[in-house]
Amino acid sequence: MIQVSVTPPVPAEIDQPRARPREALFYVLAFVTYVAASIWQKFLLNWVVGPLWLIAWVEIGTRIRRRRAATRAARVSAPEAV
Amino acid sequence: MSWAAHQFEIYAVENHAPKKIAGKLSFFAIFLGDFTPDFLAKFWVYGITINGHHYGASKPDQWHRGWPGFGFSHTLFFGAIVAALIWKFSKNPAWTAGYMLGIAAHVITDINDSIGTMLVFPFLTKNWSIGTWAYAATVKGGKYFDAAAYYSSPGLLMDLFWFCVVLLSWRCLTREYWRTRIVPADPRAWAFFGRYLSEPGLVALYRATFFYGVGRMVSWTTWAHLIARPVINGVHYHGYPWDLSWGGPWWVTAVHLPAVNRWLVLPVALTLLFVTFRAVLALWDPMQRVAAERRP
Repeated sequence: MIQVSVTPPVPAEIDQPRARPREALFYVLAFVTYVAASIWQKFLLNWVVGPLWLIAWVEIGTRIRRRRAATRAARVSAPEAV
Repeated sequence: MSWAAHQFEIYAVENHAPKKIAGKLSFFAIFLGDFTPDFLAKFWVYGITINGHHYGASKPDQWHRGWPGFGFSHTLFFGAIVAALIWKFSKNPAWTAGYMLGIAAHVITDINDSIGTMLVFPFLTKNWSIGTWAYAATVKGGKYFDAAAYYSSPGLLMDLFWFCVVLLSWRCLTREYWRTRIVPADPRAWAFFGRYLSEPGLVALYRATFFYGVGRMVSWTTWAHLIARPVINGVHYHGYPWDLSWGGPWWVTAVHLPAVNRWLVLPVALTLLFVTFRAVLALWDPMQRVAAERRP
């Protein structure tokens, strides 16, 4: 089987199973907000906005989570510098 | 027409592909194949209204599925031509086969409404329909009325059927499945998106069509039955009336195009689907050989 890496390696302390429930939360939030918004604003129900809505929630949420995790890790390793 | 069924069936096509090509089809190609027909034809079906003037098809059903019209976009013949062009320019078996199977799924699913598709175009321009629900795209009603009719009829059951098919094979939505089966089948495309998205973002990209399908199914159904206040034949309703009977809903005048005998449709459609799969399988090895020769 061809082994393909499509993303840069993620630090072990960040990409661990513990992060999955948080990721699931992004999916739930994306779904609830999408349905709530699109019931009233039908222009959201199209092939571009629909898929992008989920991708945006997960991608932006992941980046924020990783940034916060990195800041926390930096604080632990060098408390006096923070 | 089918709505969210088209979003769900692409996962089913990928997941239930024959053993020989299982895990070797490009997910993006299946997606593209399934979406091309409506991408080409549907915008003009509803049209747009600017300053009170409507721009769009005067006969949406004829435009969408008929000939003359854009109905050729919903045919296996058109799918085969586009797949041949993909092969000519890419020499990529995963994309060629994926595209063909994606569009075949769309064409076959759409035989369920009252106008159906031209299954054997260009040899016969009559439509093939089993009339499970009423085709309801009209100039006056637009997208809202079409959605309300679909999500009050057996169309909703069709969406739920495909939704359940995907849920029963829920592993196809997991990260592990994406890593081990979806990415290796089309590494270049995923590597391209990997430049911009993290891994959770890429997995979300893979699941996004499913998400959109569930979202639109829930949203339109909720709107049609809890929020809309239609007036049908002079009677005010709280939500559009349900009618899950064959050919429903009753409050829509089903549109028809010149069609073949309804009893012929299902056997012929299933035969054509079988032939399509057989053709893809038969061409798979020669395509792989050509692709291997081109690799540096």
